[in-house]
Amino acid sequence: MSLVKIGYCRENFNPDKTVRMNSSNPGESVLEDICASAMYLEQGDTKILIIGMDVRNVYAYFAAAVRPMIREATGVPEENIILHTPHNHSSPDCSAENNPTVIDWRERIGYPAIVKAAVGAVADAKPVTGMAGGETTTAQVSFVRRYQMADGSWYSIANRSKVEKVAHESDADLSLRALRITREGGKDIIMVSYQVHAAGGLGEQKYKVNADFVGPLRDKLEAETGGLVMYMQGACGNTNYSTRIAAEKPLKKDYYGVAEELARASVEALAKTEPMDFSSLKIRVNTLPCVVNHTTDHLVDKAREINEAENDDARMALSDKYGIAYKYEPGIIIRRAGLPEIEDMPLAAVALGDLVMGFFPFEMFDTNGKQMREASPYKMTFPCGYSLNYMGYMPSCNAVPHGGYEVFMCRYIAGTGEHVVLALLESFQSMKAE
Amino acid sequence: METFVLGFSRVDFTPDKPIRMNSICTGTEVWHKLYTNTLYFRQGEEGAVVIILDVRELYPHFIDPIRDIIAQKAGVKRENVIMATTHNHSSPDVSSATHDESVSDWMVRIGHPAILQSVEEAVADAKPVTGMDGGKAISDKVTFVRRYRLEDGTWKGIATANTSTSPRVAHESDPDLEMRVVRFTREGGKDVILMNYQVHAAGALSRFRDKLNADFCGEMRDDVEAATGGHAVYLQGACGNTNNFTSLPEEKVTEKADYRELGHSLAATALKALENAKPLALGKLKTRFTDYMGDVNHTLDHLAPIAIEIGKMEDPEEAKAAMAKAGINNRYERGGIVSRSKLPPQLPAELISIAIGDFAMAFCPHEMFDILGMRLRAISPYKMTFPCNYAQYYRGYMPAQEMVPHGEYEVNMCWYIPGTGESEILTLAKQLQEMKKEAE
Repeated sequence: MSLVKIGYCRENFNPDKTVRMNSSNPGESVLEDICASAMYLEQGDTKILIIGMDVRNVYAYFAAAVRPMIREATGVPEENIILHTPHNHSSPDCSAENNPTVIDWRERIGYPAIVKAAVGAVADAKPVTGMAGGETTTAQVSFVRRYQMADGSWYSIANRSKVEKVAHESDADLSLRALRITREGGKDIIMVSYQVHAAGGLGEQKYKVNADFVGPLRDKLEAETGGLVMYMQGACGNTNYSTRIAAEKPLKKDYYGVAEELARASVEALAKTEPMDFSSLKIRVNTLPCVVNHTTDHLVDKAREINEAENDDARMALSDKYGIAYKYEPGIIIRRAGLPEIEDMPLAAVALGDLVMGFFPFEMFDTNGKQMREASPYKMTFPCGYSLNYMGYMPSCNAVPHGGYEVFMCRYIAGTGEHVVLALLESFQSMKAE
Repeated sequence: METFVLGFSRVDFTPDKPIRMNSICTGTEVWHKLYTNTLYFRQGEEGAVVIILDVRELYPHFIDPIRDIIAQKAGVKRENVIMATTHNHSSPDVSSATHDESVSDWMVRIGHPAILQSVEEAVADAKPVTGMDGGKAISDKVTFVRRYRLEDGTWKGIATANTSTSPRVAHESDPDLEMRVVRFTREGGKDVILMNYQVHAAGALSRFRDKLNADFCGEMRDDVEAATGGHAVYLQGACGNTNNFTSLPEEKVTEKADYRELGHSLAATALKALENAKPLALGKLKTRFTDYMGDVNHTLDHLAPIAIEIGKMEDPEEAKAAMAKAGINNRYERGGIVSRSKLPPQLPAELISIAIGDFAMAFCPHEMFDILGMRLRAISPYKMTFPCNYAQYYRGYMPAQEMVPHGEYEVNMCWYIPGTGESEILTLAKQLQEMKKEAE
């Protein structure tokens, strides 16, 4: 079997002009660099690029535009180019496909930087000489942001509710996985997998471009280890970190605090590492038919009426009248009604020896991410959300009866998260058995 | 490594008096005896008992009085006493043992003693296993998915499809036709052959509804034992959405076709699987138990009061009109609404796995759709995996989540929220992975 080679390259893609951010505010300055981090994996004819981009989500149009450019520049087949994000809100709003400031940024800066990072990673490819991974538990920097209230109701975030919170919907998954790949004649590559929502776009940094906790995490960890860091965002659709709720933690403890704890935990995990096999590289790319939830289609007229009301007070009154959650639910009701019965969801799985990464295009709840790890045949498993495309929230089935933001924002019927995990596990098992 | 031993026993527990059957008919005539088939697994401290019964499902009033006794007799943990069924409808109606004297009498006088006897005998029969092999084969098309898409775009289960005027366009999915067979060879004892397939028994719905018999499983075991000289045990798989052709005269079949033919056909498939058998590694005996807390689906509880009222209506036309007004599609949906509304927010389901070497059995208490069984097999780390349904306290139908929007009988009768089947499969897969990694 031929050697596995891995290359890494990171390129900044900071905006140089005011750009619309995910907060819908104009990003007028750059607080910290945002980057495209490319990792190239090769064994014989198998060539794979994993590109982590410090933006919020990957969108289909974005992937359709940049993947051919990368293929042309690197020779890596388009289906093997996996785009991934850490769900960084403090970045150009890639969902605003037609916004002139975003178009300008991505055409002039974003796409070229991504391609450059990919090319750089291919050029940096060096034989892997060792791989070792470990797992640890972080301090409580992450929490499940859905609550049971004293009156028996359930709320997401729940800051506006006058009823007291009794319990989180579930315990947060605090497991962190870290891996060191050593290379002949090159720096080590450090991969970290965790699950916590980035949130800077809603905090005091909302007008400033930055990479949220991922930026300082990379910086700290690279300083500590001398390696090159690749953060892989996990299943964090139902989690926040403690800076998000002023009532729970003071705002001054911002994303730096999270980065610090994740860096500490990463170092701890790396100290616990056990040698892992790295002799084979495999990939599975497929699509999974998923059933769209059309049970609210009969509410479309009411949702439109809410959206067309003349002001916020009127919208709120109509939302109460129709039992439709204020602000976001009308939009998703209308959108879902326009979707087909079944949508094909892109999925990908990459296995490097004892490590497997499962890529999926949505905000999975941490319960499902944990299930994926626990039922995986590999020694180390990274569930990687926000990859390939963006298809919204994906609650675990046990959360669906509680409703709330993430549930009503989901496009698919209950149980689709588990359905996706099973499909990825099938890919894992087929690669393992090969 | 300590020696792995396996014991087997079969004890007759056929009723000796007229008895209420699952068809609600009184069973007076015995066409094939009913049995308890007990497997005893032991390797050092680790042990398990698997009891396969020729009845439809099991309930706390049947299991609880004897589970601890079995654990004691076999020297195994209570959670490793597994009772499962072949889902045989042509048997005493175990569900009614709480209120029907003919069934409670059978249970106390014949059923329970037979099970305890079979456990004692299986323990006494324990012999060192010297080899294990297993094979797979595809059955002739004796099973089909009993849910349909109709020409008018609606989806129907078998009962409503039969009475619909719109023609059927397609089955909801293709049936899982794979049969799996594992054979244990034992020093100084007969081989033990385990067979796993997925097809609903159907005697209770056929013209044999008032004849006590073991459905196709009896004939299948008889044929395989005659051909191999071993003991044969059938473990029912994920067959919540399948029927066999004998239960649907419209789709097939000749008058002479019945469960016995199905049994012969499946026995032939099992023998074909044995011809294909390859050696399986023996290794450490492992077990896992999870009391999975599933969320009950209470989304239609608001319709329960009217559903209960409709149930009391004597005039069928009046009931039909009231259901239409309430938006309840049929009597099955009405029944499901009422029964779920009486359940707590969560209901535990016992999920248990047993593995030895390359072979694993995963037990759940549902009638899972065959797709879920296929998915478990696809993600299992074992060379041979048996998804085994109808184990422990019966917890009803379990559709695959992508079938839920189609509604109909099995969906309406399911107690749990959509996705629970997938979540349970993930829990079983976790058990399998843990056992596999631990054994390595």
